Amino acid sequence: MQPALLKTVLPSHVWRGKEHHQPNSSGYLPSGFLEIDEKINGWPLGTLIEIVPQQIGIGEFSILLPALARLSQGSRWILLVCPPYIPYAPFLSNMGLDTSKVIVTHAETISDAGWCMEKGLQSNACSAVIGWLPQITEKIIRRLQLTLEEKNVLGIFFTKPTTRHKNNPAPWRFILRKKNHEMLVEIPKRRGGGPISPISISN
Amino acid sequence: MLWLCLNFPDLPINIFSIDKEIEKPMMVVESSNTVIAINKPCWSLGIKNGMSLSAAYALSNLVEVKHRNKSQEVKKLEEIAISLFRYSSQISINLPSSILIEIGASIKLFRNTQGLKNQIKKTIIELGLNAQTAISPTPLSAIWLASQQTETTILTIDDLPQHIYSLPISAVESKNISGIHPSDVGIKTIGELVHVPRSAVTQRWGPHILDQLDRALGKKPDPYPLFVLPHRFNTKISLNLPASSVTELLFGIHRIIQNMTNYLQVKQRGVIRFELTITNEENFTHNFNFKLSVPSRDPKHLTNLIQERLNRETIPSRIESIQLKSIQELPITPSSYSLIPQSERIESSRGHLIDQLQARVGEKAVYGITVYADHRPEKSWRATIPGEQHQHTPSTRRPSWLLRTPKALISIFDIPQLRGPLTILNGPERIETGWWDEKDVKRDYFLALTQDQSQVWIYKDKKKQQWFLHGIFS
Repeated sequence: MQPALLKTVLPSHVWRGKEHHQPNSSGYLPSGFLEIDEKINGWPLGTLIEIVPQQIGIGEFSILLPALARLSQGSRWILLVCPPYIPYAPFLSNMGLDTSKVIVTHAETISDAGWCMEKGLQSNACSAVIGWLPQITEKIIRRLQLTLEEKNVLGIFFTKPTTRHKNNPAPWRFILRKKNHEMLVEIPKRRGGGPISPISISN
Repeated sequence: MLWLCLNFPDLPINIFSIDKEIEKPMMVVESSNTVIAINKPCWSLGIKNGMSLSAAYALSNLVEVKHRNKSQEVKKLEEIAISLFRYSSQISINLPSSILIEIGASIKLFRNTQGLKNQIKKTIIELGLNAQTAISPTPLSAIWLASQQTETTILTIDDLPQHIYSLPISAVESKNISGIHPSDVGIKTIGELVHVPRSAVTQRWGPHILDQLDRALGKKPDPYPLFVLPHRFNTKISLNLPASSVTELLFGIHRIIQNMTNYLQVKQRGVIRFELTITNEENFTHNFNFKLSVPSRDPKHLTNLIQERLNRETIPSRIESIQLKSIQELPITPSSYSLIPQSERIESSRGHLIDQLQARVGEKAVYGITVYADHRPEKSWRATIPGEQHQHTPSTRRPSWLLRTPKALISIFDIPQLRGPLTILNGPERIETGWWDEKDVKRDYFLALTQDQSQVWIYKDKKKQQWFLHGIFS
């Protein structure tokens, strides 16, 4: 079939393979790591990202810090929902983050946590909304993705490797693992691109 | 001056019927046991105003009887007056059941008298009420005309007599000194009264009647006390049906919030702290205090906050009344919209976000973080009020070059000298430590500027009372 014909025959909401190479419409945020920026342009904005660290404490939050430091220079906030520990202000500050832009929220139930993230994404007040939600459900992910779509906001949630969602609607998934002194970033799923070899970051 | 009078003949019953959908026959009786107001279902039973209670009962014994509540009626009139402030600043409440609005100054804004009148009537209908209106150059004649159901509009004082003269004499209040009312001697209308010599009228009924007539015709000044906004919003409403869940309460909350936002709109203010009190049948009260991070008068936002908060708490069952009190209000400057969509009002949306989150997960569960100057790791951060601009912690700047042995400085009148007098920029930072290895120091460090603009790190030894140079910032 001719490409022009394809366009007329297929309804507009059918994704075409060709479009997969089109960049993310809300743009990318430089990650501060050359390796990541070269391969995938940086952290995609306006689309939900799932990050799965193989274990806690391998630097899964630090990998975001250069990007967050950049965002904290703006007037909008960085909302952290249910972080597992207290974000250590002196460390964040040393990494160049303006801590006055950081808001921490704790919620007791997963539905409250999901609600907090959703409100953060909805308001114009946040430049990044990051949640630690190992018990996240498919329904919440879907809601968050819908809220975030096309917004100039970095939306990330961390889950555990054991959590498996049969139907995970998050368009991006990063798996982080530590190998010797390197961090290995696998991207098993990404919107607008085919398979990609793991990116290794030395720190 | 042009006065518009709104008369609410059904006010005594209006205050009892909140929900029009589920209306049962209801009537209001006064202390003398006469029916003074009825609702629609009651009217279709054949009950009329002015009947005695026993006569009404004879027609139907299923009618709910309420005793007249005058203080609630006044409250209701005040509530109406608040929502009328958008049309005029001169509003007067005229008991028992009418409101006067000076519309002369506002006509141009609303194009013409009819346009303004329609707007006002629309507002009244939105409040779920119906009113008889009249427009007249004098307040008293407007009150008289409004009670006649004729919807009269009189624009000039010259047209007044012809309309006033045809009014029944009962419109005029007569203080009966003789026991005889003008109608008893065959005077049926005001026009007929005017033909009676003034001295005769005064002789029979006192000066009171002529005084009213002169005021109504604009021959005498007739000032009315103006309604002033209360200092704080404080309203209590009782629910028709006791509520046991948040959803059932919402109807009442919505209404009371609407009242408060109307009030705040007029005052050009937003509420930053308010208190909600709910009372149940056993008179058990429960207080909820709300504190916002930015003043707001957005009914949707405020209702959401209350809803989230109530959802979190256990509320008593069978709630009968809700009271809302504004504790602190702050002026809101109406936001001007920007041409550039990017610069949306981040400031207020930040405040709204914090309020929403805190209402849902609790005040303590939402916080900001800041660095705090303390050597102990667990104390070197602090939780802060979200959105608060933190004070910058004193910079513990360290020089890039350190002298192996501090160099003693000469001081003149305790001002240290290094190529001329030094200017202190920052400090002191006390360092007092090392007592365990017998090299204990007690020093006050300062950041100082030399005459040739280089920054140096100096300290004053507290034991030797001597200034030293210890480092250089390059």
